[in-house]
Amino acid sequence: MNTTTRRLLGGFAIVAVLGLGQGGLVRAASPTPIPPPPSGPNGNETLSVQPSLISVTAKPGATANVRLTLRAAAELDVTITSQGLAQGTDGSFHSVPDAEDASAYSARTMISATPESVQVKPGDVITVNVTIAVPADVGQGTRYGILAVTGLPAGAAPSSNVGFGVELGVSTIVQITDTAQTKTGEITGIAVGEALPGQPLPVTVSFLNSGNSHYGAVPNELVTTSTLQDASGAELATATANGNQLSVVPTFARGVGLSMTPSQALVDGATYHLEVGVGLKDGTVFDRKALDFIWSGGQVLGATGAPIQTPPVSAGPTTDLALIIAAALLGAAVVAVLFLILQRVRRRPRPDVGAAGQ
Amino acid sequence: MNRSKLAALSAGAMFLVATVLAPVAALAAGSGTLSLSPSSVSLATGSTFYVDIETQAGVAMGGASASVDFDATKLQITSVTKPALGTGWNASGTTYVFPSASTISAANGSGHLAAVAAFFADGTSSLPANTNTVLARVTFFATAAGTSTISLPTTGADAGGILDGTTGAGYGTPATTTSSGATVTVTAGGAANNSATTNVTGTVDAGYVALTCPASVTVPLVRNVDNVADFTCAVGSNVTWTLSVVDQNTDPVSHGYMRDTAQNVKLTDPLFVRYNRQIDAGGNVVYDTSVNLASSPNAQTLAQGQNNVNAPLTFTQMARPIDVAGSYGMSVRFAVVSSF
Repeated sequence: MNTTTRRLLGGFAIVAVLGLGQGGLVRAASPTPIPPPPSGPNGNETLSVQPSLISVTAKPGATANVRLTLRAAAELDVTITSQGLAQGTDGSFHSVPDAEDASAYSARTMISATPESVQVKPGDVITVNVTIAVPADVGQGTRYGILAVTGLPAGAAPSSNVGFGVELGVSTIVQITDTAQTKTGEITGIAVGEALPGQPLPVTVSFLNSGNSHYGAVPNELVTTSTLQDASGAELATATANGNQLSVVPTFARGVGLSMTPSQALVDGATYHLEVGVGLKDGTVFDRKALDFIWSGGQVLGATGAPIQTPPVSAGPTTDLALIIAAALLGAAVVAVLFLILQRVRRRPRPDVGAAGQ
Repeated sequence: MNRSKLAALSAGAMFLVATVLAPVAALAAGSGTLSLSPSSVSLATGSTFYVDIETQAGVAMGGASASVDFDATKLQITSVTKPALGTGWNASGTTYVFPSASTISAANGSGHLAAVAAFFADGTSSLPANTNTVLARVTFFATAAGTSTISLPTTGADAGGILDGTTGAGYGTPATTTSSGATVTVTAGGAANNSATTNVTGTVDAGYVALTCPASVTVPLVRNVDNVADFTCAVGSNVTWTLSVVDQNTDPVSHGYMRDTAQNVKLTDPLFVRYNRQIDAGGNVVYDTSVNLASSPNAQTLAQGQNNVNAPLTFTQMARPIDVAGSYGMSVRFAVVSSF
């Protein structure tokens, strides 16, 4: 390697490092444009409440206070009660009364509101003081509840035969500080739906949150992956569902839908192998399970549990950060190789130096 | 080539990059600073204080972002708020990116708060150069004694920065940004450290849920017909939500059925509430969701969504020939629950 080549390589190495650094800075410094959120309640709604979510962190034995603002555009008898939070397998949230609030992670008994009932007239704005009293022996993790604000007509009987009441549920999250936020989960079922030839194969993965805090919100975004193989082990399709819309509250199970598009049509009578995995976007894998099934007439003829065959499908970061890290690693590798080359060039005996020494 | 020559060449290349390439980039976007005010705070545990994130640049500013690093073992964020309308970055035409309540909650675990930003979306507007401009106010609750720092990282993931707002091709390019933080000294005692008043209205900005439904609806009860009554409930929100419905009559014998209370009778068939009527490819009337009010004593899901939605709803009620003539009624409750 001559002097000119070494100069060029040295220059490339430096520019590569600085270029990567500049790229990272540019990416990190740019605010991400998002559409502005809709405006708040205008007071013309039958009933509104603000904020929509109570999220506090508190130590065992501590008390937190939160204010809610109610607005009404009708004459209503309003009651405010603390209820349990229940989640359906479709992800829906519902308030449940005492008798049905069986979750070990319920915050229902911690939450109280003042006033508990109030009669409102159109245009009224009411402040509700919410107190969250965390017991000293609350335990670890996070607790959940719903503050239900129920408005029933206070005036004359309705003129029609079906009357209406309205209810607003303010979801409440109480994270117990200085306690372990355990993140575990289990796949409790895999269901393969019907599909006509050429149509995507619907797969539903039932995932139970067996930890003590919820998944779904950043940074605990849930990732569900699936891989379909034929009897020879050839991969026919993969699918992934992720994002922060897939929340799962402790003790509840959620069905996560995946749509798989096989590279070739499924054959009647043939056996297929389906593997699914659920984890977090940071790469944590909660559980993996597999299913062997026989396909016939556009549906599963028979299915049995099967051992896992493939390595985990990466649930790792898929954001731009991953690209940045990959680019940084690549850059570092290039620099390291160039450094080694330069070192070898330096060590190579040179005829002119040898002659001078003699 | 000997070692000293190689070192000289490398140094020369570095000098070239540092003196030619870097200044070109810097000149293109100017420079600016992110800072916290006040830069020093002393208080007792159990107390609340705030710091303002301020921006200033040598060029006009088209946008700014900041993330906040703090010691979560001593401090907890209780709210992040914009400056008053018309002041700081909360000027006409700016769009704000603000942390949600769950993001703040997560930050209180990790000690890192991201996603506070404001910018002009029109690509031309800017705030003036060399002017200290408040981006946001972060309020903390001091939970434990000790000295800690609050910093505004300008490198790494979630780095803050300022965008050049100079009209022209350079608009929106990142300015070279440095930052200065604040030192917080928390002493033991003074205030109770096990109780805090948290105004969540501030922390979640405009988060709200609202519901508007008619006071009542008339369902025609014609015999031998699946009677239909259309109406709309408006869900107002800027979060994700679940819309559900339940019959308010909890009597298990008649729950879900229209009743004539005077005669103590109910219709043979339950009342259905259906969501989003459509015509399918075969010309049939179909709905996204059909809820049989008698099938569960609890609220049943009609729809899930996000932001404002005018929910198209339909009551359907079959009246049989055997149903007793009378005046039937029911009271249903529609519920919107925020989700996360």
